[in-house]
Amino acid sequence: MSSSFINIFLIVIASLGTICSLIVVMQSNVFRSAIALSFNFLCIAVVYFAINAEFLGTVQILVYVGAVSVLMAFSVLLVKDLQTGSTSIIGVNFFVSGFISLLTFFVLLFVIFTTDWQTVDKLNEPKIKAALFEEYSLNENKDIMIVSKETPAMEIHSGVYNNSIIPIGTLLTTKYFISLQLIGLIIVSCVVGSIAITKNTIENDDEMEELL
Amino acid sequence: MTLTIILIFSSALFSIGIFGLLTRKNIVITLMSLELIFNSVVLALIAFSRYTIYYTLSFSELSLEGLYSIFSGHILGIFIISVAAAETALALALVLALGKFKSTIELNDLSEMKN
Repeated sequence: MSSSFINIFLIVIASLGTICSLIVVMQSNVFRSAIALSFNFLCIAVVYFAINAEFLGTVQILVYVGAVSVLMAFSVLLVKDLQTGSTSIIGVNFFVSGFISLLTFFVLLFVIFTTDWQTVDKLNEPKIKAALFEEYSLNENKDIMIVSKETPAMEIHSGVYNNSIIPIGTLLTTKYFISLQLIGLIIVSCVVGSIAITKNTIENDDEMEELL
Repeated sequence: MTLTIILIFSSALFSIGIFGLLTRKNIVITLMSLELIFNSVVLALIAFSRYTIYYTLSFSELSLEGLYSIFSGHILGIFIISVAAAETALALALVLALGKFKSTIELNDLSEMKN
């Protein structure tokens, strides 16, 4: 795919995602904003797929579109008077926070446009380009070599951006293994905590009412 | 050019999330704005990881380990996504408890810990 095609595609997807996120914060019906949020997550997943981050895109769809949006929608449906009973958002608060967020946006835009980004497109090293986007092979010292006609077909690896699952899996099981275990521990403790909170709401109604 | 487009998208999401955090009084919408901010940060991280590897690769000695280490941004993104999902589950459990016992989830009405 050519670069300009990807740029036009990304502009369309980014506008869609921005419109969806505006609906999330402006809509008074909470259920509709949960639906718009899931569409926004989907747009971000499409951006991930477009910039060679397939694994991240899959995780985004599984976790955010599949789990978090459904959780939001269920909690909206389970709480009484949540769907319609939302306060009006127009007021002094509206203009002040709009000014603050616009200021943040323009500061970020200024930084983005005034920085001279040294992107990978400006790279002119043939070895790195081959290792990233085309094919490479390894010699005895595990150094990266450019594929030539003498290279046996067994030793040719496709570029890391064409096959990003293997590097991510290697990093997760070697360099970042302890961090992975820690994240699992955090998730388990969060799940135990949320079960404890919602279990109390079912069994000990009177006790909790005294507490609150 | 592609990096610029993605960064503009990410900063738009970030500022819209800040707007929602400051404006809305509903807890669930506040959580949604928080998710928007998390997503914008992860998006910027992945875009940097994809397009500015100029800084991370040293040209003279390019080994397999160095080649794999350009995916550290992806790993960090996965970690942020999992922590954000756990945090959302916990916060929505709190919302359910509040909605059952106080029958309100407006942030202005929750002032027990004031004074």
